[in-house]
Amino acid sequence: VSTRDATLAVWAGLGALVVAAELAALASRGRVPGLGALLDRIGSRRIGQGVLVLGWMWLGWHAFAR
Amino acid sequence: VPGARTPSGRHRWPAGALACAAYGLVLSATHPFTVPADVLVALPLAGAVGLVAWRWRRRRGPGPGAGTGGVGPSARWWALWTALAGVVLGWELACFARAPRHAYPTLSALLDSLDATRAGKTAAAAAWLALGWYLVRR
Repeated sequence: VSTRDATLAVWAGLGALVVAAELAALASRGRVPGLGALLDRIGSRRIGQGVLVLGWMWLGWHAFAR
Repeated sequence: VPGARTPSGRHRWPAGALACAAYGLVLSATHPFTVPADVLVALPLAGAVGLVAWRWRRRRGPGPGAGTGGVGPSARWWALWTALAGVVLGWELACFARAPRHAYPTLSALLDSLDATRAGKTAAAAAWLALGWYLVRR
């Protein structure tokens, strides 16, 4: 197993954990918070919304423009 | 998404998805470090800044969702999400600090791999625009 494969395996594992947590949230019908609830909670204050939007702006610029 | 539950929100949903897909398709035809890519990415950024500023000015309260009661589920689930975010961030930093990038790909490198194909870039750009709309329309 190469270093790259091992690194990618960790990324895949983390992605699977996020998907599993989100599926658990969907199956719980509101008892367990999902990613949407997490974003809602962070964005419920102006500072949180500002940070989220700034992060989103950076992501778009970084990924598609530069 | 508050508006999605209203009849008008339900009708707006497919239109929004179509708009995001169309934007992704157009952006996927550009290349980074070119003027068309800069302009196409800058347009939603400017729109987001304008929309957030307008909404903040319209609501002179403490924040967009303040006072709506928040989300109630147990604190341990919030702790789980926080821990998960911490592990992802930690792994990203660990990869970032090591070399070569090919052996230790960061999230940016993974995204670059996705952006290498037209379909992948279209999907990524559409998802990015949809996320932005979700974040600013609160």
